[in-house]
Amino acid sequence: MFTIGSILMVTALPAAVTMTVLLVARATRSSKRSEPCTAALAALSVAAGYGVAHVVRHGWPALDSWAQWESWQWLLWFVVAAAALASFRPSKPLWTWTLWLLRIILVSGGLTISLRPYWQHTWDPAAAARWIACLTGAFCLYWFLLDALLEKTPAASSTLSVLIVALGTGIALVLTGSQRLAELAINLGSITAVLSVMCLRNEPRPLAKGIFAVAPVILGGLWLTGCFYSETKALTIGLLAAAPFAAWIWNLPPVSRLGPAALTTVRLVAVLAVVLVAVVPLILAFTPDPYAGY
Amino acid sequence: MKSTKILCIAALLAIGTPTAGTALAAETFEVDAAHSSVVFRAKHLGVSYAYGRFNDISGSFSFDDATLDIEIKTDSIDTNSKDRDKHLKGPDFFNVKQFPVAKFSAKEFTKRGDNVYKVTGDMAFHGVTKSLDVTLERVGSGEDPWGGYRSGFEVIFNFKRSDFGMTYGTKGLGDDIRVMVSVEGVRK
Repeated sequence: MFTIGSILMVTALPAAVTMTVLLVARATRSSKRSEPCTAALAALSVAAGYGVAHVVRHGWPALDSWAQWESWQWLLWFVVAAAALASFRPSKPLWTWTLWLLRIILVSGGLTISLRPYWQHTWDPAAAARWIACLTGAFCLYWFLLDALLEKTPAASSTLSVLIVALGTGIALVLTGSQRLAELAINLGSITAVLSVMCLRNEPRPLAKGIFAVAPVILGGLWLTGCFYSETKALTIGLLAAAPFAAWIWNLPPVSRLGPAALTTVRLVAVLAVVLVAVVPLILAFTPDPYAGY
Repeated sequence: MKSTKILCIAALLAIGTPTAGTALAAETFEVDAAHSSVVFRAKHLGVSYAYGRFNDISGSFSFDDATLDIEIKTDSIDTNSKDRDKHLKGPDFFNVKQFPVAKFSAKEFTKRGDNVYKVTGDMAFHGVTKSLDVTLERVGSGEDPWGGYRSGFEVIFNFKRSDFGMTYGTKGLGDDIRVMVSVEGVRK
């Protein structure tokens, strides 16, 4: 059940924290305005907005029972780790390889922790190793493709694509059993919305890089939790994950001749169409029930 | 010769009276799930109590040995609403994939009156284990029509779900949970 207070907490609070952190960091930084530096600040501001909203809404997980934390509780720390990784400046090949090595460690470690009940009680060791290896490979490939997408498309349409996917994820999660996960997705949506607006003013590409350094971890973690701990179907998650790549439609000849504004609109409509394919069946399948949230 | 005869008679008597030996052994009962219930209630929006139950209960108990082990499959929650059950099973509440079982294991029985005991034990629920005192009322014991022997008890207790890390939505669905456990056991 969403009240006005809870809606503000999952929308206005993370957006306000993100904007404040980014503006303060920009105002106080003394060094040159290099792109990696700004991208790292943007990633930090995303993590701060998400983290504050997470803790204020869902509380601080008790440190004495960390072994029993649920996968959505771990997500907070994975986001912090992803923001820390964003401070790497992959200007040299060695740094790029190091960054990817650390990302692989983050993803495989995160999957191992998040899927603990499965490898403890459901899977045998070989099956657990296969699952974690396959999911790590798939997730890292996805992250790589998102980075490539960011290079190929303008920053504004990339960030707005993340916003559409985050909101679609929220709708999918609330309709498949978890309001809490939906709230976390909407946290990301509101953060992305405010950064998309800031992208219109200045430094759009570093801001987009900052979002793309953290958003895959939040979305991936929510999709994983929805699939393994709630009732979100793999097909829904696959469509949501594929949606940002619909922005590549600009490569098609009739579209590529459009002006920048029209092109951005076409890209976003394409992303929205894939998200709607994922969530509309869930909306149609939703049957009114006397139960309304609690 | 006479003493050997007496010894043989004594041995035959000992072998021929197995019930005397059984009477001294502790009686342990296995939970009969079909005749046992775990019902709970929580305040809804501060205006009424919503009731639910768990349909899969197992375990054993012995009043002689002062043991009581009850296990509930959280996936068997039933609140008479399919959508609500789906929500309750998910990460917002029970997270049944991560925490498939809730348990209570007694550590100490203290007799408080006729058929009434204070039972101290550990409740493991939603990944958290806490000590809990409950009052157990022994309802009765007797032979059943199928040649078995049964005994039963009832326990009613309250706890705060937030103490066990289930913190979501405590304004809409109350934090205080009352659990009513009625168990019938068949002697092993």
